[in-house]
Amino acid sequence: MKSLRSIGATAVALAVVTACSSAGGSGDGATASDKGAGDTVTVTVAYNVNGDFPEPKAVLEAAKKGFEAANPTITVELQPQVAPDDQFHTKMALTLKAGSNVPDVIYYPPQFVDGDAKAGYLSPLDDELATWQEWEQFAASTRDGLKNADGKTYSVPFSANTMGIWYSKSVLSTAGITVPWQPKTWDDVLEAAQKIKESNPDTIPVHLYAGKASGASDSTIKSFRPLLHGTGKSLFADGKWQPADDDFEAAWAFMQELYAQDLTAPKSDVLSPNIWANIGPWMKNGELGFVIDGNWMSYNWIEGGPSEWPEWGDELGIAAIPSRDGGDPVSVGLPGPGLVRAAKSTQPEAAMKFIQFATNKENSQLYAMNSGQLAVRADVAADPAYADSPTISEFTTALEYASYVPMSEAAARIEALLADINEKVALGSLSPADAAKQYNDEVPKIAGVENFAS
Amino acid sequence: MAPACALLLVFVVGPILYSLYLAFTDTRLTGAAAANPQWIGLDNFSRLLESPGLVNAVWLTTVFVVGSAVIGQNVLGLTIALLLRNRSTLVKALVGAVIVSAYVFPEIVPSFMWFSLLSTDGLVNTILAAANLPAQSVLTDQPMVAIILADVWRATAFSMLVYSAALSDIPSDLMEAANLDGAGYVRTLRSITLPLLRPTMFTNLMIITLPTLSLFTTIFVLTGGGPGDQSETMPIFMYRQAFQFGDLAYGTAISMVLLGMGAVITIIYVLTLRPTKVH
Repeated sequence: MKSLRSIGATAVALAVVTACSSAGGSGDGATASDKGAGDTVTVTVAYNVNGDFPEPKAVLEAAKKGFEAANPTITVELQPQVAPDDQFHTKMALTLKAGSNVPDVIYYPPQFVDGDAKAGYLSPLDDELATWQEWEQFAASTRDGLKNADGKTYSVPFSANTMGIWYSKSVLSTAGITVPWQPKTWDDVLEAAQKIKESNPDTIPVHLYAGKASGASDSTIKSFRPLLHGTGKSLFADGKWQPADDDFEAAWAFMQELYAQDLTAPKSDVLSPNIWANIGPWMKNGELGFVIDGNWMSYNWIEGGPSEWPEWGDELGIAAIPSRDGGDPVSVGLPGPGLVRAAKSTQPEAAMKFIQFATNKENSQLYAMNSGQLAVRADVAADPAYADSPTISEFTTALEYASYVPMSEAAARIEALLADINEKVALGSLSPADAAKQYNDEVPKIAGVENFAS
Repeated sequence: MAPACALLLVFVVGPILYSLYLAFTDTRLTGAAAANPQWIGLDNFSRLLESPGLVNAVWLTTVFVVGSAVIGQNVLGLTIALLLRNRSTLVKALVGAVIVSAYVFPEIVPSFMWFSLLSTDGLVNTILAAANLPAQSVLTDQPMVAIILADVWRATAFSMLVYSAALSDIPSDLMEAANLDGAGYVRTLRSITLPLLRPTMFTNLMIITLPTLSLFTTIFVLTGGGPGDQSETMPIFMYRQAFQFGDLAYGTAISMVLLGMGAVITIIYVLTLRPTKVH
């Protein structure tokens, strides 16, 4: 028994050490307990912090300061959570479903709004928006796009986004490709990637998002949909979800081809949850040739960004995403993230006041310029400080021909399904034909047979 | 007894029954079905039985439980306990402290530690690079090996403690008698030690298999079930369906299957390792 006792004693000693070292690590309670105390009210605002991406942290902190100064009786309590969008949404949905201690205002990417509105977690903002003068600053198309199936509006957006090809002029020049570069077909893209690989085997020729760990939307909006639109198809057309056909398979096959030829980033990077945070430094250091990514990538290199690079506007080029056979270029459009109000908010008026303040001209512009996103307010778009920033005009053009899918609950689930499929296709463990079969099996179950064209 | 039973009812039986109820509905995390869940009978289960994801998850879970618990922790724990027997107190204390220290940390700590060891720019690859050897990406190339290794490393301490205790309970006169009869180490092990350890082995396997079956944190941190679904064991499969795809009801249906797997394994142990008298 002696041996066990001495081991046991060691275990106890170690346990005490561990317990001591972890004491004080907990304690993020104290939420909204002071709500409604005295004359002041507290508005709680939940948002996620995603790696080194600066927003919405910066804008919400600025808005809190300005709002509290303008409204001395309202206190704003920010509740940041370090989590990727999907996990943040899961956590919020669980909180909203449970119904106690819900935040008043939540920052949501657009794909989560419809599902949560249908679930009764969010309250419509229409009454307040109808009397809000500044609502006119948001383009009519933006306002229409925000309306849910029930005709109500649940979120006020900060921005709009679209995709293009970011390329490094120096990497392409070294590979003997003339810049400015504008590929016309998929073959041009493949050829450029091969040339880059030949010129320098240590350079990653192209990054095509394929991992699901960084968020379900990544491999769909930055890889699969740009390719699919290039075949002339869309996930959603004529009011119905479209079945996967030869064109879907062609998009997957092209993705698989780039990976099979080893023209992409190492697998371990592609599958990392933080892959998107690598792109900025890779571009700056000339380690990456080109990538299909969002307009927001400039957040990396601007003053104060995580990879400050004053020359980025000259060193990087933007090319439109080509279609398969040389037709018009394509892009993917995304309504921007915005603020929503919880249905169980105990301070609905104060919450709406904060939403309006946080999306005013000054704050919207701060958000857009900090995060490299496109303005949705006319007054921001007209401001030279914003409009003259590099790459804004290229992406604003891309926004005009971008394709959209409805931001519905079904869309979010189809995106999650695609994320799963794309990863397997890229890794070579699922053939494009089997991918199409799986897609056609699952989508009718998700969207309903009546919403699936067949 | 009454308060204890009441607590068990509320906190153990209650959630299980609620999960069972949910498994027969279409409850979701978000969307219209979150507001008005409907009774859908056995739909979740029939969908599950048709799903290739289930076959994959059951297979990987079996591999994981056999690799980590039955072979890894059990055999390694027994081996260490045998090696430590008859060693000096100092050796026992030192080795014991090292092994037990892995066990006392919260699961998340060794998980991150293994991640930083095995990731592309982790310690292992830094050392390999210094020695001019090719880099390895175990987490993406052999994900099952990575999670089994990490779990064995963390959890072996428990088996070692159990076997150490059992070994010290074997009467020393039995061993001496065997020695006098000319039995060597292997013979003693086979004829005396292992038969006497049989009830302990039964208890140990029971205790370590069930948490291994439902292990989540280590796998989630190391591979997240990926790449693709190459390390998606039942708990990860359940989590992804319930919380990533928002299908709470389907997730609870999967948890019922997991519960069933635990029951089956327990029955197998009870039948094959039932404590018997040593002759």
